[in-house]
Amino acid sequence: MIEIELYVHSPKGGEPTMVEIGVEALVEDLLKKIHEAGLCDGPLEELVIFVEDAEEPLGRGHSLERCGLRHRHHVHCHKCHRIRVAVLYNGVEKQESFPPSTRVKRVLKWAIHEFQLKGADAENKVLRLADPPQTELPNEAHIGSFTQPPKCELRLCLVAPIRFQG
Amino acid sequence: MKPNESLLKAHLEGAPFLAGVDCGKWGVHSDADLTFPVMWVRGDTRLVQAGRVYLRFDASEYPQQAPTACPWDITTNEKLAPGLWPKGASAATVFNPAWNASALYAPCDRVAMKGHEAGWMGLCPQWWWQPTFTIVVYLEFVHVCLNPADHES
Repeated sequence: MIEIELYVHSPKGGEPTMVEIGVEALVEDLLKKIHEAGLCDGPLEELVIFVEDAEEPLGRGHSLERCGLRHRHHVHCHKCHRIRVAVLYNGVEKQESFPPSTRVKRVLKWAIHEFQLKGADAENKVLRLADPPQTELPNEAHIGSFTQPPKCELRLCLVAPIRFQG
Repeated sequence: MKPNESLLKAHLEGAPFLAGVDCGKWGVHSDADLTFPVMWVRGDTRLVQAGRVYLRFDASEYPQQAPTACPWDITTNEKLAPGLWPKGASAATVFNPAWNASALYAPCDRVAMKGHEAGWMGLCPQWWWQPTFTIVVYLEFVHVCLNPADHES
């Protein structure tokens, strides 16, 4: 069986972990492997896997090959099917639901559009956690990585990045 | 192999670093000497004319202490001439040869951290170097500085 490596994201932090698995394995097998490795907590039957930026979770009975997963693709294992994201900007809040595998850059793009920011106002914006530690979210990270089940919500602030002054 | 070198080697083989390589954010140019590896980070061509900047790291005492790095000319194998350092609003403060031609003005750079404990540690905890960090934090910081409008891509 041909083995592939997958980047697995989960609620356990913003950085992915590599998992090696046969391309003919089922999504169910991948879930078991991720669960056994302690990469994603919770009852196995409640966990789902999304491909990066995909809208729907993968069917458990499908093979990875059939799902179109290739070497070093990114997937996300999470208990939440959707994350309710609230973005605050200048005292105004906008909300939308996204799958946990949505990259921060997509949410940022949505927020900039929702707040109708253009030109210089739209440039150089970042998303930061609204609550402590108020971490600035990397554009390539998945929003599900910052949401701890059973909570399926995330509060963010749209801000200018910190500039370092001499 | 020294402890700092074996840890750096492990981090260069880890998923967070490889994910950045796979999407073209950064890469290794030379790791023959793992205490002083040369890596590159992709940059917006408005800030970095060549589209990438090479950095020669000093990873002594890594990761207990933060690495430090300076822009590197891989053709001459010496420090990059100040006139060729990245320019522009988001880059000029970090890439500031007038401040120090051998380091980056960054909260994850060993040289720049000295004297900034009171300010930077609270201002940007995700970038303020901790012994639990890996080289990916430094590379990510530089990538963010050099790609301010990356979300538009």
